[in-house]
Amino acid sequence: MNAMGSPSNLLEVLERHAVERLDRTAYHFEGAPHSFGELWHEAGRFATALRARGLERGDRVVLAIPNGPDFFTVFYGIQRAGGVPVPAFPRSGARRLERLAARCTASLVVIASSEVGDRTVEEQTPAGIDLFVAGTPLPDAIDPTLPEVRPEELAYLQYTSGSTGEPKGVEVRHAALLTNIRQMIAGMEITASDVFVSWLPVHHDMGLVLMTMVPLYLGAPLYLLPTRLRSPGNWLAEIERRRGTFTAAPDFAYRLCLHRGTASRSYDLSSLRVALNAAEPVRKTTLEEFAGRFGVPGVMRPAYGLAEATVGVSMCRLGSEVRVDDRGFVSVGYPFPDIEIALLASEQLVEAGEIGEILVKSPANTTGYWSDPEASRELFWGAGYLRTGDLGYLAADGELYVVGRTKNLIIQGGRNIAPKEVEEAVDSLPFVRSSAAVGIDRGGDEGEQVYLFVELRKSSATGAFAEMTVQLVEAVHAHLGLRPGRVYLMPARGLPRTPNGKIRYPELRGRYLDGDLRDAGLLLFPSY
Amino acid sequence: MAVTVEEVVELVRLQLGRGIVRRSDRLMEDLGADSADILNLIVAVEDRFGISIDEEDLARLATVDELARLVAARV
Repeated sequence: MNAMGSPSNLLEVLERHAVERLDRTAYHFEGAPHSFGELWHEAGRFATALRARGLERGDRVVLAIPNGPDFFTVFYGIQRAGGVPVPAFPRSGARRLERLAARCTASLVVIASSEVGDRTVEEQTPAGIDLFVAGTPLPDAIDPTLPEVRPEELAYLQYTSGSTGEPKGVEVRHAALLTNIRQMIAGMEITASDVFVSWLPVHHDMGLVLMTMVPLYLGAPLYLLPTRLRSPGNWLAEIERRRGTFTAAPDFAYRLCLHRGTASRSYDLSSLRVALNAAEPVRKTTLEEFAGRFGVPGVMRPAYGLAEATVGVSMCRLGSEVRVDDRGFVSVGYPFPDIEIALLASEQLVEAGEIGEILVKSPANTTGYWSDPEASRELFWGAGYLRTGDLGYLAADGELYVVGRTKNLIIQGGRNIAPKEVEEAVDSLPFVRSSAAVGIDRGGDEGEQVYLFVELRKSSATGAFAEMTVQLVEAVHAHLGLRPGRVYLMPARGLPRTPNGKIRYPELRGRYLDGDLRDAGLLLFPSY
Repeated sequence: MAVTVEEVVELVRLQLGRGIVRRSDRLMEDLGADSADILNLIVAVEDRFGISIDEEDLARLATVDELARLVAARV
C-alpha cells in the first residue's frame, strides 16, 4: 500500500487504521471491544489458512456467519487472500448453501461453529463442497505474500432476488464499494464522531456496508448487536446506553419497537441524529409514532437503495421535513453525490411527476450479475442507467418517491426473498404438485409476509392436511431460516396459470385478497 | 362458542411447523419463534377465532397456555 496516497480500497483503510493505532477499537460486539489490530491480524491468519488450502485469486467463498467477530475475520480474510466473499443468510440450511455455492461456483463454504452459529454444523454441512468451520485454529504466522487487491477486482458478491425470481449475485467491486461508502458519508453528513448502533445482519448490504463498513472506514464507534434480540427494546437500550447517533433498520423493526415489548419503560433516544428507515416501504404512521413516542422529531430519515448500486442511493435531507404525498407515499429524499435518478416508462424517460421504473446512474453501480450475461444486459438501460425494478416518481424539485415494484419479489422484514427460493424448499415433498409464494401485506405490524400456496397431488387431496402443513412450514424454515405468514393447501390445478403453464402471481395475490380463492373452493386448508 | 386449548395448540403447531407443541412451551425459547413468527401467529389467531388482540396483550404473551387463555377470554 502507498502510505501517502489516497486508499483505493477498504482493505487499505483497515490496514492503515491497524498500523497507525493498533489498539484502537474498531467495534464493540455485545459490549466487548475489538481493535483494528485484532481485526486485521485475525483476517490475515484466516487468509493464510485459505492460501494454504489452495485458494486462488478471484475464487468465491460462501460464508454463512451471524453478526460477530468471526464474520469480520472470515469476510476480510477471504478478501486478504485474494478471494471473493459471498455472504449468505446465517440460518441457511445445507441445501440452500449447496445451491448458492453452485450458483457462484464457490470452492469453499465457511459456517459458524455450533456455539456461535444460528444452526448446528450438521444442519449446515453442504454435500460435495469443502467446508470450513469458523473458530477452528488458524496459523499464527501470517503469509507475507498475501496479494495486493486491485480496485477493479470483486470485493464481494451480494446475492439478491432478481427480476425473474432466480437469486443473482451482484458484483460489487472494490472501487465501487469505496465510492458508495464515500457517497453515503457525504450524503448523510456522517463523521468520525458519530456513534453507530446496529442490529442489522452483516451478511446483507445495509447492515454490511452502511452499518459496519462506513464506521470502520471513518474509525467511528460501532456497537454491533446480534440480530436475534430477545426484545427490540434491547436495541433502543443500547442506543440509550451508548448515546448512539446513527442507526438504521427497515420499517418493520421500528414498528416492532413501537408496538412490542417496549411499553414497560421509556428510552432516552435524544442522542440520535439519524434513524435511517429503508429496505422496505416506509409507512407515514411509523414516522409519526417514532417521533412522537420518543420525542425525536426529524430523526427518522426514509432512504432508498439497492445492492445493484452497492447500497445507498438517496435519503431525506437532514433538518428538512419528510414529505408525504397525497396518496400517503413517503419521500425517500434526494440522491447522494454523483448519483442521478431518472424514470422510465414504455422504454422512454419521463418527466417529473410521472410514474415509471426508477433508474439509477452512479459510479457505484454494479458491473452486472455474476456469470449471468443475459440478466446483466437486462439490468442496464441507455447510457449507464441501472434498472431498479422499483416504481416511483420524481417531484418537480427532484425528490424521489417509491410507489411499488415491477419485480415479483417478497420483502419480509426488510429481507428480499425470491418466490422461487421458497418454492424450491417445498417442491420436493411427495404430496406437493406445485407451489407459489407471494408477498401479502395486510397492513398490520407484520408488514409483507410470504404466503405459500401449495397445489396437492391428486392422491393427496384428502390426506392429513395438518401434518402436510407442518411439514411445509418445517421445510421452508430449514431451507430459508424463516416461516411463511400462512400456508394454504389447494387442489391440483388450483393456481392461476397462463396458457403455457406459468403461474400468474399478481392474479393469485389479487384473488386471495379479494376472497375469490376461498369462494371458489380453492383453499382446502386451513379454514381461515 | 368455547375455544378449547387444543384448538389453540393446533394452530400454534401449524403456524410454527412443529410436530409437537405443549401448553407450557414458551413461544420464543422453546418453539423457536422470532418476532415475525409471533406477529403471524397473532394474525392467524385473529383470523381463525374472529377476535382482535392488541399491542398490550402481545407484550404479555410468552407461552402457548397464555395465548390459549387470552383467546378463550376474548371469544
